[in-house]
Amino acid sequence: MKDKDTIIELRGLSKSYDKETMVIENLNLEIKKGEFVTLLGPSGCGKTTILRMIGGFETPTAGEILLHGEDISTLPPNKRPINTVFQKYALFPSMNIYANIAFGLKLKKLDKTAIDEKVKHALEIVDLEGFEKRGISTLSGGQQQRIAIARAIVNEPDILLLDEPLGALDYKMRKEMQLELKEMHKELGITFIFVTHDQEEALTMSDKIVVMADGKIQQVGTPEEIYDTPSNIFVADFIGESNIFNGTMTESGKVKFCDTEFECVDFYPPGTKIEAMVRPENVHIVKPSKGMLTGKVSSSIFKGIYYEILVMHGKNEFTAQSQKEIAAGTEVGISIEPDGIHVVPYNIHKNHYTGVVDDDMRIRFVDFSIKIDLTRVFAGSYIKDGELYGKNGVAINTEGKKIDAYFDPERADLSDVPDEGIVAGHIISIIYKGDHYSYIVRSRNEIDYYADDDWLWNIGDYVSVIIPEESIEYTLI
Amino acid sequence: MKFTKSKLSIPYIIYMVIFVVLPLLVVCYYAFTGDDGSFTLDNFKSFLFNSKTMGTLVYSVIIAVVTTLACLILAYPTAYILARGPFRRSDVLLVIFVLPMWINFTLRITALKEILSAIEGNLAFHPFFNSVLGMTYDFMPFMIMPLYSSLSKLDGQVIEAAADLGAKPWQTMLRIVIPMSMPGIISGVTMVFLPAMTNYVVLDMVYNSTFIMGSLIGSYFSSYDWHNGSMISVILLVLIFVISAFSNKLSREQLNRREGAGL
Repeated sequence: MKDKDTIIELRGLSKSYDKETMVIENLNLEIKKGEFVTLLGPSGCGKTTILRMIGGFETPTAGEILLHGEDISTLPPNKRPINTVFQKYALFPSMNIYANIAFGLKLKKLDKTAIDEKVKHALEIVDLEGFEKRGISTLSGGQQQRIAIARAIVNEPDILLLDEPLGALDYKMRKEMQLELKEMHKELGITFIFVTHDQEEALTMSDKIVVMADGKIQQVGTPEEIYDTPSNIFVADFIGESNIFNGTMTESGKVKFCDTEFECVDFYPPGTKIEAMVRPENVHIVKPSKGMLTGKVSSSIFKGIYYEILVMHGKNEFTAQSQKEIAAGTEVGISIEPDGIHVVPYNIHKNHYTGVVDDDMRIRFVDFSIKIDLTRVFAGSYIKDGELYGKNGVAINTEGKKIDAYFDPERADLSDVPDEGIVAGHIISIIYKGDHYSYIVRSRNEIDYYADDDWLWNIGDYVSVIIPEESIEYTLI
Repeated sequence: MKFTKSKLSIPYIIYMVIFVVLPLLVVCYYAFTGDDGSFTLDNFKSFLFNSKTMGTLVYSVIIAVVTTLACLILAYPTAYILARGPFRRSDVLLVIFVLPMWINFTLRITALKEILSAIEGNLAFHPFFNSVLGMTYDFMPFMIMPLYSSLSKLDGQVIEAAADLGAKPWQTMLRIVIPMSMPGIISGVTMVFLPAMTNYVVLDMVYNSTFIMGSLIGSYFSSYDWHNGSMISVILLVLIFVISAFSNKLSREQLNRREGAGL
């Protein structure tokens, strides 16, 4: 065991229901004793599956779950010192509240007075003293949720798992329960693992947030770290609002996007392609003469405590917040403090695909095959009588050669005609980048293609990715 | 012409009067009259104070109880596996179990009879076993259906919650699954027990000298003794009425408990 404080560790955890698609892929996570950890992500990202594996309701396909350093991944739920608060409460309808809460204690063969006392104490913790004899259906949703919590904590588990427990409550009730859960966590000192898709809930309650997407951890950190320094554009886009732009680092250590150079606090080598993220509250609207760049207000929407102002700078759109309404059409300046810009290097592994040349000089990739002029790959080569010759005049046997293909997302386009592009798939992610949308298209073979498009598509749309032949770069590997 | 609710009910009322109320009145009339047409309780006296007829009644009840239990014990695990097992098309599997109902039941019982005679030689050696087997075979779908529907409605999270709180699989079964499927058990038991009490065709076919209530009625009627046949029918009617009232009360209590009128 690496750390004495670690209560549970997930090591190389993978889960697949159909042996083909991985719901969770090689996931590693350490959780310390007494922490309030939130697994946050959009629906279908695998967060509930992780919780169910910790609880014992699913068996991992690969990997280990170490509780106090011992692998518990194959133990049934009843042998784990872990209790769960279920999304739909899952109270026992044929029992009254006392019997529900005492269920676990009775199984442990505690004597009656001890059970009575513990049930009473658990009801005190959830603020429902004296409810012992009531039936389940006489309770409101919020009360049922409290009973579900009482039923779990009365067993004094090492870890309490909470599977979107507040999802079914109305807004006010949810706010109240968030604070109460946080209080309970402090009072009990039990490790809480909380699953939610509500970023506000995660930011309010957690000591540590694990942002997930697509079965993988995107970032682990405190709420402040996650909000202020998101590790990639997915996290920035998912947590709070964000202006995201493509840009580059300049010679002087500044960052350039929207045709403007900005001072920033992150440093990368000059020329590095980056993605810059700016929170709307860090976009300051100033007089046109004082701005780093100028633009025209295109809309101003009242949001309760502030106005959301959209400013167009050329083709780029900035979202800003302002205390005052600014009429559409007003010329304004935009100013961003250096620490208001968060820069991450552009993911250089995107859109690289490996293919193999077949006997017909076609390159076969997983999703498609393409016939290209192979002289582009072999420097100085030429084709004569359907054979490829090197610059020394010797024929090259191309069959079986591996070739890497890359295309710039900016050069790609999307079409709703499946045969129009080289490959088709479903859109799984959309991120707005000021003047265009950045899409991820996932093919049937689970390969992701990054493409930029000016038009707005929807998640789940079946599209084909069109890449002009000359925009694909081939390298021999 | 406008169709009001009361007008729409006219055909049903006519149907009920002709096929339910009138026959019942006729049965009651015959049950409480003698050969001369005068009111008498002699029919009942001769039944209740006759050890042979009372024996038939007890035998019928025992057969019905054993049949119901056999159906329940066999159907519960079947329904549980069908409803909660790892099958993708459990509804199709359910149809396979219910499929025998689509075949004429005299045909089914005749087939069973042939199989049993091949195994046992003479059916007279095991009259009780054969009767129970025949009826269990015949009534099984009536038990599986309500059990399946109540088990498949069961919230899987509740079962997981029990395991989560430390219950071993058998404890979860005993304390959570069976109590929660009680409505299904009650309606299944009612649907098997009542026909098992009165059915006599199955027994007649499997072993035709086994006397139970149903065959007693049949034998009286076939010898044109309307009075005694009607009398036994009335006794059975009362018995069934008591049993259904009791099972209704049980299921209502279940419902109340669930609604939690505890305070």
